[in-house]
Amino acid sequence: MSGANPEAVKVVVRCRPLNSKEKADGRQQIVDMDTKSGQVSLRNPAADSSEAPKTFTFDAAYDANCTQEQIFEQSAKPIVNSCMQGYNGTIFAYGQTGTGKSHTMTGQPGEQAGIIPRSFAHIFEGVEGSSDTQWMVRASFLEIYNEEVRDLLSKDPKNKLDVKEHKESGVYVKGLNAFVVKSVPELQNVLAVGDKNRSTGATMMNQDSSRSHSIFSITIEGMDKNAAANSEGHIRVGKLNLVDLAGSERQSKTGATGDRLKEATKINLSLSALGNVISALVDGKSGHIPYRDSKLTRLLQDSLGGNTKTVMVANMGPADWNYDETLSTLRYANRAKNIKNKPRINEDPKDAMLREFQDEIKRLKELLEVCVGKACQE
Amino acid sequence: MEAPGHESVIDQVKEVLSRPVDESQPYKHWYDASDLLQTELDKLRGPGALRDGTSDPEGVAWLMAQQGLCLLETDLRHQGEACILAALPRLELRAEGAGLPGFSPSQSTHHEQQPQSAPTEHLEVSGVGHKAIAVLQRCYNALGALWSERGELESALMWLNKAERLYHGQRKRVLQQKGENKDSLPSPPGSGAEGAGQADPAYAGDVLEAGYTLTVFSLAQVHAHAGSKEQSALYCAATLQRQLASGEVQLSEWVQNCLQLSAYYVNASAFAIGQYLLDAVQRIAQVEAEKKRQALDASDGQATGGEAWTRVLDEDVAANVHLAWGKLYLYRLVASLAYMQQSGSQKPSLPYPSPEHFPDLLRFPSLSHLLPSPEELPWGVSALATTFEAARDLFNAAIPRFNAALEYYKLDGWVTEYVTTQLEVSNLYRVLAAFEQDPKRCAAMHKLRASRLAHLVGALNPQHYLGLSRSIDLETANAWRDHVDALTDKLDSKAPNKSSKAIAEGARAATHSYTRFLNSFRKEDAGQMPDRIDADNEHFFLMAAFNLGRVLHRSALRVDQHTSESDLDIMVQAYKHLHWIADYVRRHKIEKMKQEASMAEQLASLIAEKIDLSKKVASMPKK
Repeated sequence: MSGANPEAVKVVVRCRPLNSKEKADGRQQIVDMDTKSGQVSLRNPAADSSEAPKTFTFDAAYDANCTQEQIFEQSAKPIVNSCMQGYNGTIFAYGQTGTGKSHTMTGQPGEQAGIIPRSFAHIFEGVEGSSDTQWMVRASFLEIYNEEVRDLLSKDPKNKLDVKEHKESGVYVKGLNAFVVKSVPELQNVLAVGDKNRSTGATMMNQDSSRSHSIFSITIEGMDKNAAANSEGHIRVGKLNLVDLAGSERQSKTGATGDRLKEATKINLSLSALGNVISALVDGKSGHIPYRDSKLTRLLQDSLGGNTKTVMVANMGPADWNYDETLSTLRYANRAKNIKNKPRINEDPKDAMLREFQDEIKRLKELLEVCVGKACQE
Repeated sequence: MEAPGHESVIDQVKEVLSRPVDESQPYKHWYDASDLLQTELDKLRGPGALRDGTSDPEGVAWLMAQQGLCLLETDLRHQGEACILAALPRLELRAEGAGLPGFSPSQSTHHEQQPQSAPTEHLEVSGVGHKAIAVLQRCYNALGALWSERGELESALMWLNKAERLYHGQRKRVLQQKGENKDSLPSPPGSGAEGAGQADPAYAGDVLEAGYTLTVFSLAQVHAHAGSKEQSALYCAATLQRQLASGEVQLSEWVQNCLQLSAYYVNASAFAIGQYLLDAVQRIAQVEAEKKRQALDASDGQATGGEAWTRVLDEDVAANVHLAWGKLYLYRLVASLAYMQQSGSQKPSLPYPSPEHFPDLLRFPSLSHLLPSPEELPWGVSALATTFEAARDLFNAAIPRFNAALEYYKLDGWVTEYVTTQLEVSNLYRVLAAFEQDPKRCAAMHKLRASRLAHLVGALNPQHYLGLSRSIDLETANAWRDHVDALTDKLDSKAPNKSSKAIAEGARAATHSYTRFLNSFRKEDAGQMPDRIDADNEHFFLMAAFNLGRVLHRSALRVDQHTSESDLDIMVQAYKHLHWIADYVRRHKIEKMKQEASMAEQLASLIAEKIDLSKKVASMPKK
């Protein structure tokens, strides 16, 4: 049974401008974006003029003229607001190397601040601006590498953690640390510590950090102060997940980490991805065997077809030499729009229900005839 | 990667590619490798020389192919492709000159061909021509991947089919040579006989074998992308075979993949193949367990038989083996019911109806001595139960498997797997009940089905498990509904009140669960129902709503002077509900539910009569 709000997963795309090297090399712009309709057109630079450009439509399209503030206000802020109100929200960042993912998500101080610092600021504006509510904000940071989950805030980030499910609280990572933070600088510090552990850990374990996904989670608990005084506090708990998806081109060429957000036409060169290929053959059917390679999907299953507001921000480059990778990003983003839970039910055919209705009507008619007969006799 | 006469540049390229990757410039090492190869190419061509005016056209082709393969790893894929395409004619000529039977570079048309069986014995190759073949194979594989990523799947298949033909042609040639002069060739790797002959340092067998495994794996993926699941499944099986034969598998991972492939065939009602794959899993795990037993001292107390095979697998994979067997039996039962319910010419045919239809690619030749012969497997309709006894046998085979899986997949820790497995068990009861002729036993089965789910009703937090919660409520409701229908069939005329009471209780239970399910669509707690339910769920919503309408009034069957106010209320509720759902269908013009809506209104009008009659009878003077 699907619990999905069909509008829950929004996909927005952002195309950066041609950089100085691309301009110096005389590269052509092959991406056209209609920011009003959300349509993106991609022209194949190697094709002749008779080949129509490929078009995709998304919930929003941001071109080189769009500002960091616009993207935050339109695509990310509604998610952060809903988390403040006690709902869950997830923001995915997707983009191949050099497409501006870091700029979109992190950016630079000031006007060029990206989604993450703006989200932090907005959370604490809300916290500091509401005197009637008692707030607690906690942060956790984990990475998934080769289907192993690690706590980036742990004293020993090499330890693997288990992903479990609880019938009340949902999916959780057993043993994951969450630190209480009281200000934007504290939140930024947590992020910085985790990033550092990610790089250090990658070096120590000889792993490629660009192949790992990371999830920075901010849990926001709010309680009405007046209600608290009367012991009738209603606590609302929202969770914001900021997900940095592994660089796709590196992932596909060196081996999949096995998440279910598979690209439509990529070829995986690593035999460790055979499981994904086979699993996809039974995708959507009720008869599949539980997946082993789904840590990311399991951790975010509320975001994918659940009752969480989700936005995926897909970044891409404009130049002709990026055609293949840009096309890949657009296909991936397009596919993300269609992620939903498939219903699971042992369903009787509709025809059987019709027959049963007919029987029911017949039964009731007979019963009424008998009862009317008895009543008349009486 | 050895290039004839260009070993030093190849060594330099290898050194560059082995350096740690700079994350801020992830393509740099590929660019550097490409630049080295370009320098070497420039030397061959000389200043001002035409591309074809080189004294070493093979060397040029070789280097261009290598350069192209490097550039395909970067964002300069177009250039990479161009390099490879420029190199191909010369490489193909070299391969042809190496006497490759059945290979012609002009065969560039793409067409689906019956996949040949994927050989598992290693290929022995040597000589310059064969190195050209190895590079050619890499180029074909790379172009196949490139075109797949562009979404041009026919082109991708064309290149991969070329790679496949190249390998098979080479294999045929080498085997013919082996037949002529067996002793001069090195032993296959992993055969344990490497010391028997002088190994050729330029040995390329491993490279070609690995390349072919990649070809087969890529074909599996491209066919999947193209929606050709059957072809994809065959190539997935071929890949599994080659992994097994290479001896380089992680057992649990291989088993898990084989289980998933089995699930594909079970879903497609190809039960014989599904079972073959499960037999293979079981045997491999048992062989491994036996090896471990022999390696250890048997007196250490470890069990040596029975379930010893579970200990060589990761715990979750061992549970999945049980689950896969349980599902095999369950879906045989489901298919049996569907078959029984269809009549005459409408009876569905099952895929792979006999052993003759067993594809070569799906067989595991290295396991043939361990597995049952194909004739012993349940092909086609022989997999189906046609009697209650046969159905019960399948049921009895499935239940312990599901219970074993649930030993691992406990509710605390594995909510999703636990619930979905319980829903499968409920399905098992549902289908077996359909074979049961005795209504009393049938009713008991449905009641048991509902009772297995009872502890889950309301147990999950809908904020995290809305889909599963709804599934539980709907399945429970349907189980009670079926229980009520079975009781109605066996209505005991000698004890009508007892029967009516049991029916009313069952109907109330069904009503409770249907109502829970429908209420889960309200906007907030006890809020308004949305004007229209989302497309994903609307069908289930409507089915549940109609079923509720059908069972609701059954909670109050008595139409006599003993009809209570609460019974009347129930009948009024039923009346209103039936009109509401009929109105929903009409309002949204849901054509496929028009008949149901019309019947709902008929039922509503009968219920109205029942209400009137109840009131009249209630108002009559009591004797």
